[in-house]
Amino acid sequence: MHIGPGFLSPPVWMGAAAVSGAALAGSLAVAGRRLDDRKVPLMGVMGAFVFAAQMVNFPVLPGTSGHLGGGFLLGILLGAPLAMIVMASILIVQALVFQDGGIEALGANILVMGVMPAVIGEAVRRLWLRPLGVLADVATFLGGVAAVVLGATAVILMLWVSDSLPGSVGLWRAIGVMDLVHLVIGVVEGAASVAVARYVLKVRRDAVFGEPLAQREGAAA
Amino acid sequence: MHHMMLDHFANRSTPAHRLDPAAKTVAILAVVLATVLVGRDRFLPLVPVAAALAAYHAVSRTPVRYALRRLAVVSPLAVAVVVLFPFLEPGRVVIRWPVGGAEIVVTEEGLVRAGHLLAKFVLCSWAALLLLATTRFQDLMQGLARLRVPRVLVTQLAFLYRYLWVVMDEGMHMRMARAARDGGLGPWRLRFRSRAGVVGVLFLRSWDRAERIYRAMTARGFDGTLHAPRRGRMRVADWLFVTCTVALAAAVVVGDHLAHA
Repeated sequence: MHIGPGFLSPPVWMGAAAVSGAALAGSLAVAGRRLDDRKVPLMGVMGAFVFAAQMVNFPVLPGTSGHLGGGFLLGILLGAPLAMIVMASILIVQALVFQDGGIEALGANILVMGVMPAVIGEAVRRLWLRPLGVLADVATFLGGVAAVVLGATAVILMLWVSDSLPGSVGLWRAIGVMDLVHLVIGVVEGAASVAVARYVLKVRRDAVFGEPLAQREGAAA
Repeated sequence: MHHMMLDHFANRSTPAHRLDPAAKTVAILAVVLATVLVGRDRFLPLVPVAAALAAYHAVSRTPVRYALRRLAVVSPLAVAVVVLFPFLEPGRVVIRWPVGGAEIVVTEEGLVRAGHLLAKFVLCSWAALLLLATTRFQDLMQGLARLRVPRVLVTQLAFLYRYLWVVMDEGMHMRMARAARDGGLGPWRLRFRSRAGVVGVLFLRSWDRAERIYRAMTARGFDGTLHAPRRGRMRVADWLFVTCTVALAAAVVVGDHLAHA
């Protein structure tokens, strides 16, 4: 889903870069102020984790498979500020080292694959912090679908404003086709995120949410 | 497992490799910006950009086959858009191709747009791959730090690159182990869950790895900041290189806009 170089018009990529830059600057400020040294290696290794997690293909239909995007899951497990920094670093490495996504389109790609899913993930994270039971699962699933479909819609909108869609296609048809395809991908993202988040929180909830065990037991009592 | 190092050719020693990493970063960014700022459907301003990149490529003695192979692995979205343009852009028809009752047409406007997008795409990707082919990743990080990129971000990039292959290896082993157990067979639900298990375990192993790394760093006196040896000073050649490249980029943008004002 990376937007390649040359596809976005200057107002669009500059605007997207401004939005992502502001979100990232906010995250860096939070990270610099509130986080302990422990988070320095954690964020780096988590970036590598996302690369590795993207290799794991989830079966969709016979013959097709999809993989996790990363931003949404990290938003749930690390919170939006850390997830944004990690995803930004991944997209920078992909643009610089793998030529995946344009350098000038970095802001747009960070917005679509980093900032937006991380914010949705953060909202889901807050639901996980409460004893909601199966409702948290449902919210995670819907959040995953929303992160993917909204991202696809944002890409088409940016291409349309940039006049980089072929003339006879039209905005609504392009959004319709892209959203339909990404609805399927989103269902995978949502279902996989539910399964992964449930597993991680079952095994190591204390570590991931940073709450001492005693406090949680006290809250439950 | 063995991975091809992505900055494999960066350990050579040519005039291009010896340039200051910060200077190279600025120069490559200027070239990329000039390329994407060239107005719609114009090809002439892209020629000097291509010539500059070709000259740099020649000086750096980057193998052409390597560059072509890297350029061949392009974003599917870009390919889709470029391939669709000749058929879907309205305009003067150059090729008609009757298929059954319908007709596939290729328009001149569509071909021009596709060619223009493809040219920009190739030039930008070429510039990025030349930067990494002539600069080691850790030198690039130092360059970014000297260009006042926020330190948290530079540290993050350095850590990501350091542990990329380590965690990828672990992920590959786990993927292979899982494939050995279920052979890609079994009910859909079970296959889906086993893959979610791989990602979940990989997450927790990464979490624990980060914990171990942190302890090892603390044992060596880590106090929250990374101290890199301050190397490199801009020499005359570096200033000359960056000035010429930025001037060329500016000339391309200004010339393009004046010619079509």
